Amino acid sequence: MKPTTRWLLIALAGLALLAGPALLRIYWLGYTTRSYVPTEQKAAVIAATPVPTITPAAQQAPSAPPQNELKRGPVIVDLAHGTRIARNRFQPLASALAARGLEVIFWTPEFLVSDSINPADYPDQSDVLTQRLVDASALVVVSPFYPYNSREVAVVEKFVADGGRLIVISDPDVEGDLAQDANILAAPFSIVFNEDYLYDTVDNDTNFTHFFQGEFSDRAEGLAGSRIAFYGGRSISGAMIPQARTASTTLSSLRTGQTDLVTVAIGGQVANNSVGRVLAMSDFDVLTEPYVMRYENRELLDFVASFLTGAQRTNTIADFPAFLGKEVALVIDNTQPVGALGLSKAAELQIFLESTGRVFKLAPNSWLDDSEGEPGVDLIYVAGYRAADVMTTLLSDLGVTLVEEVVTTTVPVAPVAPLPPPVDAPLPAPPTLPDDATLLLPEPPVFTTPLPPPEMPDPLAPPELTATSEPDATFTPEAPLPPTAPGTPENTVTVDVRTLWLLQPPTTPVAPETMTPEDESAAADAGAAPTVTPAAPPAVAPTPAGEPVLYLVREDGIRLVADETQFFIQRPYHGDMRVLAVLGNSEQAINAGLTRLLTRNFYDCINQENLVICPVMPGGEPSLPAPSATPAVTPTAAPVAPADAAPGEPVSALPILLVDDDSGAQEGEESEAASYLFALGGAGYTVDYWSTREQGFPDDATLTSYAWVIWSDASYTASGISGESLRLINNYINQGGHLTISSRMPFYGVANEPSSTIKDLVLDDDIPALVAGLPSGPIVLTGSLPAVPPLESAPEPSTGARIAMRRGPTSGSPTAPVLVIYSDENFAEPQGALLMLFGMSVAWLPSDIGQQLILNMADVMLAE
Amino acid sequence: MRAWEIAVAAVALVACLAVGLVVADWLAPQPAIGIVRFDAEIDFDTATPLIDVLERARDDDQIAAVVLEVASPGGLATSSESIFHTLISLRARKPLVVVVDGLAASGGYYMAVAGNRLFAPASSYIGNVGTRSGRPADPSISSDELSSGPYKLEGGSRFDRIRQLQLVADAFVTHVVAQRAQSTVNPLQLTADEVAEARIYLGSEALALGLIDEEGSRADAVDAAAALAGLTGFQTVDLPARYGYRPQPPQPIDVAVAQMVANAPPGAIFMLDSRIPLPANGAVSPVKTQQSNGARQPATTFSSILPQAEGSAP
Repeated sequence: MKPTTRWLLIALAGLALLAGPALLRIYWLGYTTRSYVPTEQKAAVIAATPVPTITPAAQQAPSAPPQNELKRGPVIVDLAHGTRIARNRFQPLASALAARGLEVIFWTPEFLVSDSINPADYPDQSDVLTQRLVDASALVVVSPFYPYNSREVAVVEKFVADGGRLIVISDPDVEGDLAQDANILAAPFSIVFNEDYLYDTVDNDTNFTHFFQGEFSDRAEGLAGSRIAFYGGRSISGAMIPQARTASTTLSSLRTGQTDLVTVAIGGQVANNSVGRVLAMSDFDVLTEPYVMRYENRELLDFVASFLTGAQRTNTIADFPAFLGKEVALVIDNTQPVGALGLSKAAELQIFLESTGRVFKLAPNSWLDDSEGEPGVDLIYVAGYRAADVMTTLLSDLGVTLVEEVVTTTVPVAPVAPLPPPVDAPLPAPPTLPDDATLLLPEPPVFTTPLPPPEMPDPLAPPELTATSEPDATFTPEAPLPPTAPGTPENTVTVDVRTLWLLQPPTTPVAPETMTPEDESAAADAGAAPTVTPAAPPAVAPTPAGEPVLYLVREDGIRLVADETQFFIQRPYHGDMRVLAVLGNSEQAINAGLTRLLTRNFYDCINQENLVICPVMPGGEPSLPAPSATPAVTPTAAPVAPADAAPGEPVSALPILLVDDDSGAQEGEESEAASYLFALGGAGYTVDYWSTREQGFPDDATLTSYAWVIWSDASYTASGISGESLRLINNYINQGGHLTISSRMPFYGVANEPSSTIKDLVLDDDIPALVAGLPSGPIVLTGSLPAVPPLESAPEPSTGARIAMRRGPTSGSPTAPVLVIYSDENFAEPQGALLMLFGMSVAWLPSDIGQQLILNMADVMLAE
Repeated sequence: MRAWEIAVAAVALVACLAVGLVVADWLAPQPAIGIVRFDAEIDFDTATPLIDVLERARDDDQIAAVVLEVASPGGLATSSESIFHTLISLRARKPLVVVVDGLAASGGYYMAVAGNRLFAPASSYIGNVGTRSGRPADPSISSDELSSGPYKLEGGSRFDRIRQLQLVADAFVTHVVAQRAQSTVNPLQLTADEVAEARIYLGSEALALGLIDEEGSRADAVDAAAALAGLTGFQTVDLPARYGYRPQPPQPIDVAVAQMVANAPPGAIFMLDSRIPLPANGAVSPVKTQQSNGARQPATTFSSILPQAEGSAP
């Protein structure tokens, strides 16, 4: 082969090798061949018409100003349970109510609400709620974040029973809304919100959760044909009257397969007198802007406003001044001069009445005569009993006569401490005066010495309320009557134990030696402690011989000590005239009565629609709030009175000063001092009450004049000893005083540890007398209690510290002392000082234990 | 032939073969099936790299088909839509097969329906076609700012926002219905209204309803992609690695969602699995639940509902 040919072949081979791989891939392996043919994609049409600008339409002419002559009670909107709704969202509702003469008031919490509060620890606001609802027309509750507790529910039930209206809304698109929480308040009125949400994918207002109502009925029948949408709602069930149901295309997220679901209903129960007064809705947005302006939603708002306007409260005295008309005249007893305090109270009354749209004027006593009064003018009559008895028939119409008698001896009577009954014992209901204000108690026995001790009623049994003219043969005195002093010319016993029933129910078991077999049986059935109850001291201060005492004696024999009683009477008088009378036996008592009226503080009174009987506290003014309702623990036994108290004698003549350091207390906070006062006063101790808010701090001389000083502020949020109080306390102790500090922050003996909650207590045996009669097991504290700093676990030995009570195992800082006594016995120059620290409030204890502890404290602190 | 001639010829031929192989590889490379895994929430940060990868794959001649592996609860609506349209563009050039790894909800399902074929295991979560957003605010004026129109500050009325949320959802539903109705393997059995109910289905349910084409895994998807591309010999490549993208380290989905919401524009609309709470202002909002008896704690966390991926992208 020629070389040329050979090289040509080699070149061809090279070319084949050069192109071969590519050709192989392309034509043999098909690497460049793509068989994929994209399918034709149909274009989806998504073009949408923008929302057009709304064509303006003239707003309806505003309605004329409301023509109500008197200001109506406001509608309270509850924002105190953490509702996550801004106030401005209530504007449409407020506007609709304003057109009807009703004002909206927002009830906000009086404490700092932290996001980390567990609902179980959320503070009880029942007292504040009671105050808020005093003159309210209606209460609006929307999706409470923190549920109502049982006491608050009870307040609302009473409010509704009293004629108030209630709206409960559980809106599933409000933050934190749970139907189960709203149901706590709604269920007592037979309404149950279901934990679902409703939707309509067929017919809705731009969103599937914006469904339309399909049917209206009952009171909402007037809305039939209206197109009303809910903007997120849930279904309602229960024993209620449906007002609105959803359209047939609206479905429930949980109640699958059901339609025509109820979204607006009216509930209530005969049992709690609330029928027709509770409205339940499952959407709040429909009442707010901008939703309320869509379709015919405005009509639903008007329906709701009309429902709220329909409240008709029962105008009891506690609802002052609802009973009175447009013009009110104040008639003051003209037999006594009016002092500065009286004028001041009259001015307060004027301001208060005028703030309610009423016209206030002064009027002479002659207006009480039917021929002198001005037509259409109602009266507030302020007078002493004697003047009222002469000028009017107010007392006589009640069957009350004034009897002045001279008391010649002191008669021990049943203790009056408001002790609860023994466990399992049927609570003796306070004797409720019938509506006609006629007590039907039997005639009281008139005791004369040396008659044998008459029998007094079994305190465990409710008072006899049937009419009888026979003396009650079952009366058994709780303590033997002491003999009348020899030579006393008068020997008529003038105090009737049943009088005290009107003030505070006696609960101490009958002393065994005076028990009848029936009494013993009843006491045993009731679980009463079989211990011998020493004779209780008198509730009424000994009256010096020969001093006249005025009594309000009812025709049924009930006698009330006039000095210690206030009467509030409201009734028609002389035709159309209505009279509200505030009666007392002194200017101080009358002024205190006016204060009660203005503050509507009738917690410790016997309340009826047209008659309220109140006790007059020492000092006149009802400055003490109602006893704490927090520890709702059934007592196990009546407190044991000090063992050294002889029957029929005061427990101790040594005076006790109870300093209620309430200068830093917030509005509505309850006083721990009330617990001390009731326990000690009920046991016969002489207790002087001192409020630092009203009276400032007591000076050194005042403190040293008392054998025992109790410095109490533990129930207040701003609890703590400091500043002036610390200086006073220091001086008092250094002078050998006996002092009890009952405070969350008693300053002395406080450990350098973080605050923690006390959940239980255990006893220590350092001071047996201080823990006598207390349960040996852990004492469990209930309710929502604040964290308090623990006391020093190892006090300095030189202080003579003895520990009586410690924190229990489930408490924060377990074993830390709670109750400690320091003394100066180890000091170089002992003065006999005793300092007792109680690092919490006695009001946090179960009431029976608290009272026993207070009596023990008295025993120890007054022993020396 | 002399020895040197033989040597020269051999060298030349070897050189030609080498060059020929190089040229062949350049002119007709072995086709590849690109695989890309997306296992995150959808937002600007996660959508942009994915879109870049998909666009480069579309223009890459060697990539004959793409397999998209999805494990996503969705996210921002606008990013979900961008991915969807990028996938539709890719699909117009090359077969696109999607396989669901555990979850393709809301925006995640939006991207899934763009494929020629859609595979999912029986236990995966599919669907949740809809939109979410924070509750709109009412128009207001500012104390320290002037604006030129009544809606300049808020962009519209409350009901504008509500309606816009619905319009975005409508578009979503429309695309889902359009895509799935065209499936040649398992067309959609649901109506648009039923799709709009936004239910979440199991893979087995989704197969019965035509929301997916077949039950299967990534291997099935690769085979399907090869079949659609008409390939007999092919290789698989990890597309992000091929184009130089580094996979981001995964982070807890609730944290990722919180960041997504924080970085989202005002009034953003989300296509996000409805079981994941929508945080407010980037933080997980405390929610009172029945189970907690009122105590504050987050509701459902995403990690409790998402099957943990056993491996990341190759």
